[in-house]
Amino acid sequence: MSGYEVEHGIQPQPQDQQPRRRPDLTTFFATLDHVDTSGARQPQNTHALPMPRDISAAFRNLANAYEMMRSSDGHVEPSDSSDELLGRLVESLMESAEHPPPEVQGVSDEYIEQLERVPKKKLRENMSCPICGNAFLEDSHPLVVKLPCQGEHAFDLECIQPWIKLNPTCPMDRQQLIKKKTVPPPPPDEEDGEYDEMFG
Amino acid sequence: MAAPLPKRIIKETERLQNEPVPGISALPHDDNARYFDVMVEGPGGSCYEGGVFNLELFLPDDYPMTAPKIRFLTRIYHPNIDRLGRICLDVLKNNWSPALQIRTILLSIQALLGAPNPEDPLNEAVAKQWKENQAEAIKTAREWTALYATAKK
Ligand SMILES: [Zn+2]
Ligand SMILES: [Zn+2]
Repeated sequence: MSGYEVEHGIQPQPQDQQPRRRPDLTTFFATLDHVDTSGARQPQNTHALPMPRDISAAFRNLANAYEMMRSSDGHVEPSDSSDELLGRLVESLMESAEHPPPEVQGVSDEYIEQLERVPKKKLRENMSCPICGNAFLEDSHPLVVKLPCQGEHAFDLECIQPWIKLNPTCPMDRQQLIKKKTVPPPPPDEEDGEYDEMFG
Repeated sequence: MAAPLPKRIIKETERLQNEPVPGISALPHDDNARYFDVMVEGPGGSCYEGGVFNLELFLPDDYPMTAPKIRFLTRIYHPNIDRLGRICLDVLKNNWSPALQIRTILLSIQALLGAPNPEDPLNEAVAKQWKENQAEAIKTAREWTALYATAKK
């Protein structure tokens, strides 16, 4: 599990059908693990990029997950539009698996560790996390961090982490948190339309 | 069977019902709370005025880390919307942020109807027509709106 339970020495609560505080990102992290090249995860050979086949595998895994959601839906009517939708998502993920992006931009684990914590006593009733929308104090062990942006925007650590691992910007003001990595020029085919593009 | 919904999705859905945005509605499916039937009215004064456009919206597993998936079901003549209803809108792509919400995205889409941008086209043919003969393009957009986007009672 994530750092939250470890940090506070608590067991994750059985959650039954209660709403979860945030989306299930297990798939996301498993996926990211293979293609994350930030900080200490940087490969020995600095020119080495994640294997395109690993990036592809990540997309393919998600496609498989969606495919499972389709068939687990029980009733499959010919006119089931959500089933149709998932079908198209799967198709576009498979497309991305065939044309993976060269590298994942994002902050390192070290960067996340040194983010400024906001102690519980400084949190107010009316302060909430902009990502999950929940009041920080609704959580009995809030783990809140401040980003080094102009607005010093605060988030649940667990909510902001996945975002800045992929996109090193503050979600509120879009301020860049770290310098952009230099990425090799994209492959010449300008067929941007193929990427994830069943939907705009 | 299905995993419980994150609170954020529940809150957003409640707010969409309780404080609806004028000219916009989004209703989740009974059997899939991540899949919404969306209706957007063409903005007044635009060539889509009087039209009621249906869209489908899907919240992926990792929403709000990734943007909602959304597309037009109703046919529309617009330089930034292609034949399949896919939408070219920065906030659905590189400019997505988890601080954005379903309602902000739908407002952006409604604004896009009021301000077609042929310089950033998704539909090359429509964008070309828009640049070469705007009056004709706007006339076609009005005709399509009357033909495909009139509300079914
Ligand atoms: Zn949060
Ligand atoms: Zn900020």
